[in-house]
Amino acid sequence: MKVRIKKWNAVATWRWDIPDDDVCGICQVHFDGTCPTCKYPGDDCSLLSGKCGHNFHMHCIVEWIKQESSKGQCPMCRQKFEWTDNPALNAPAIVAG
Amino acid sequence: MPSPEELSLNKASSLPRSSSKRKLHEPKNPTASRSTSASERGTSPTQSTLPFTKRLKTSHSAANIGPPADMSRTQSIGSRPKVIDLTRPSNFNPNTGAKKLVIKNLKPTRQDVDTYYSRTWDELNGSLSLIFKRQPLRQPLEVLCRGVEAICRKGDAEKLSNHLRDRSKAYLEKELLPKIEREAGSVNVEGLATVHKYWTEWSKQATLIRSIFSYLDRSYLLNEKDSLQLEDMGIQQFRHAVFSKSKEKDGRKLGGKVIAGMCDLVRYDREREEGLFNAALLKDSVVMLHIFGIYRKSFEGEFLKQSRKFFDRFIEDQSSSRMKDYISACDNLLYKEALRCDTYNLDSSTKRSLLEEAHEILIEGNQDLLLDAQGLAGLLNASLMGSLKALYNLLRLSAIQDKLKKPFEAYIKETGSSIVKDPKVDEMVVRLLELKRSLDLIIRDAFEQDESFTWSLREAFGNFINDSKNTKAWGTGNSKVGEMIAKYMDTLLRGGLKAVPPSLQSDAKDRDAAEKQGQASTGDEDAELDRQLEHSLELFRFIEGKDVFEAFYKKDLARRILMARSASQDAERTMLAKLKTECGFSFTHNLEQMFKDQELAREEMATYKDTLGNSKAGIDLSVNVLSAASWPPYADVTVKLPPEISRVIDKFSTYYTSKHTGRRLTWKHALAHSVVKAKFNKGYKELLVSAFQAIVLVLFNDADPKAGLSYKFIQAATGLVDAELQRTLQSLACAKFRVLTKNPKSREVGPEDNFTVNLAFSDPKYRVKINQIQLKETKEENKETHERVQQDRQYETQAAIVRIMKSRKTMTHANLVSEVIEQTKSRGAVELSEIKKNIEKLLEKDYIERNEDTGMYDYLA
Repeated sequence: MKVRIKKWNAVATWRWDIPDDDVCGICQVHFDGTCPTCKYPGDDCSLLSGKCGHNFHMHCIVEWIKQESSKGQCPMCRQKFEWTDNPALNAPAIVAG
Repeated sequence: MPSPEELSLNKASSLPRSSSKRKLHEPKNPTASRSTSASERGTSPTQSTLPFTKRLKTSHSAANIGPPADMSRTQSIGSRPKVIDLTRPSNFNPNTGAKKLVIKNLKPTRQDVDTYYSRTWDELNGSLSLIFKRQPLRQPLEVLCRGVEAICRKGDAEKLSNHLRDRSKAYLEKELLPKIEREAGSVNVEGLATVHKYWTEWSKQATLIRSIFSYLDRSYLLNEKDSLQLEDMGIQQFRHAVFSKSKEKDGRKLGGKVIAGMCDLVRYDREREEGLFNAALLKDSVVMLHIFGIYRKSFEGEFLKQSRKFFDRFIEDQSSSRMKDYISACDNLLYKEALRCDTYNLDSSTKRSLLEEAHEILIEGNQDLLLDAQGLAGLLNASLMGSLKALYNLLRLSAIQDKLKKPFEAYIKETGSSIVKDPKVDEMVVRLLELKRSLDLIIRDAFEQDESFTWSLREAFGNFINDSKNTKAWGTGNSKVGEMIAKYMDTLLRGGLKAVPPSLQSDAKDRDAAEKQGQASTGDEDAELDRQLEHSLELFRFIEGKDVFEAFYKKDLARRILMARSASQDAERTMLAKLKTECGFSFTHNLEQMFKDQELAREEMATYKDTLGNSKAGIDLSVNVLSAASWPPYADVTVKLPPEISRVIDKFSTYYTSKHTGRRLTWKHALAHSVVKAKFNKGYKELLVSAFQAIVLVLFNDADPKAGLSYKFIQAATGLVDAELQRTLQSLACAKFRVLTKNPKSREVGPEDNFTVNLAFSDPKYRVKINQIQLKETKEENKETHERVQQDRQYETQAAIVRIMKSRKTMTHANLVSEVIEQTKSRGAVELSEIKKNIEKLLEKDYIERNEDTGMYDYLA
């Protein structure tokens, strides 16, 4: 008998490539979920990873940066917040103090 | 009006006048000439110049000369003479004027008038006697009538009426009454019949009398306040004679006998003694009593008394009968009683009080029997619509239909609990639906859509579905009903209507008919499916722990989407919309995400294929990328993929991660399925298989067809764990479609087994689905889902506690617990001890603290 696979219906799940139990530092929602203003996770509600190693919902951190008082700092570690495109490379740093 | 004598006089006087005129023209007539000559003697010729009127008058008086005896002669000779000789000179001379006529006084004397009156009186008197004797009258009625008028005009009206009254009274009491009493016999009904017979006769006599004496009636009696008119007098006298004057016989007066006779008749009718019953007599008797005006006074009370006794007896007779029989007997009885009242013209007030009595005795007095739970259960079980309707209507007559609710609810609870506890899980929802359907129909058709019953139906359903005693029977700690409803809906959405049991479907058709009358309803399949889903949703509403339902529904939905097993996308959407309106946005949020993911995946695949261009990959790949949070968690099962598969998959993986930065893909091969083309002895077949099945099958490409592959080899090549591999091999070699042959043959797959390809495999269809195994839920999965629900409940409980404490700041333990139950009820409340444990946990985590002074919990910000 010759068996040939004609069609393959695969199933995969995606999650943000960050540690499992991480939550957004601003809205405290798990990254699998959305920021408070969005309905569905995905490209419409993407994440933003700072060079400091802190991840946020993009909507959340943008709101934060817009505020005068934030002085463009990461709300978690008060470093200047600069985002990076590749959070995978930016392994979550254990931020001291 | 002139008296007859006067009349005849007048007529006679007119005749000679005309003959006298003729005489003037006919001189030949000897008598005429004689009479004229006689009259000429007294008149001078000068008188011829008298005015015309005078002459006329004289001629008139001349005509009156002749006595009555003469008149008949003139009449007989009034014919024309044979020959009239006009040549002879006539003695008629117009210039001399008319001959003189003499007038005689013919007025009757006083004595004649008195004779007339006395004669008339005698005639009337005689006529009365004849009427009483029921003999024909001698005088014409007109004459008698005139006689009465004459007497009244004369002023003897009072005398006449007194006389008439005395005579009829004497007749009734002296003559008729003894006769009736003689004929009446001893039986009541006979007495009644006799009285009625003579009453009919007397009415005729009285009518005749009234006609003759109508002038008296209308002129004298009408204005006389103290005396009755003739009609009333006739009635009053007869009544007086029969009811008051009659002597007692057999300890009962005639009147009493009449009443008793009527009651007896009713009794005969009630006891169905056809031979004794006389419908016409009863009806006429009622009319008679109405005419007498003693219906209410003497009959009604007695009748009601007898009826009460009858009803009491009825209850005694029926005391041992079953509920159903009693209902129909009762219903029948009431119907007959009402009908009887109408048929025999009984008064409407009698009917009302009779039926009130009946209701009081038969329904209220006997409500223990009517409200018997056991009996009602029997009726409900058999869906005896007629009896139930009758029962409801009976109870409503006494306005105690609400008391039926208690046994009704008890029945639902008992039946429902037995269904819920029944180990035949698969039938649970169908049976519940059937129960609800039949009860709905009963409420609609038998209980007149009584709101309060609908209410108690809901109450009772919620009660038994959420009864913790019932859920404990399953050992899962969760409501089994929720799970089963989710599964039932899954069957509906997967198989469409084919999954609906015929019993429910036919019921649905009944409902269709009803709906067609009321509102427009399409009878097509979609509408039917929609209705079926609606029904199951109705059950769902009763459930308090909705989280179980959610978990299972989600799992089933996921499977339907991933395996493309939905019968109708529209139905899925409407169901989702229904759940959304039912439970709110948060309930369906994840479900919506699942649909959204499916759409995204479709778009993703389209763009992916565009980037690949036309290059033939050989394998048609399609990937469903799911957002992990919204879907039920799936365990990672490691498997070694065939190289051709892992190649395409890796390619997609790279494409995806480069397109969506920051995402990580995890493959869930346990959920994947595949189409493989295989060549058997009888030609090619397309097999729809799960990923694992495909992987196993591909291994046989390189295997020796004779020797086959051993279990151990397959396990090594696929890297599957025992449980999965056994399941897969079993589905390929031991299930309905046997693509592989197992050695040795048996149901269970063991590690020492060997497998070869079954080349003789054949099936009438080209495409064969053998991946059912994937759709089935394993026991472990089921348990897992239940456990997960339990776990989630703990979190929900903790969240509720914090929420409540945050708003109240401080609370006693009891209040907190009851509030928590209230808040978590709809999604599923946990046991009291569990709530307490969760409070402990939160105390440890310093969300709340116990205030030692007040013994209350304080919220810590």
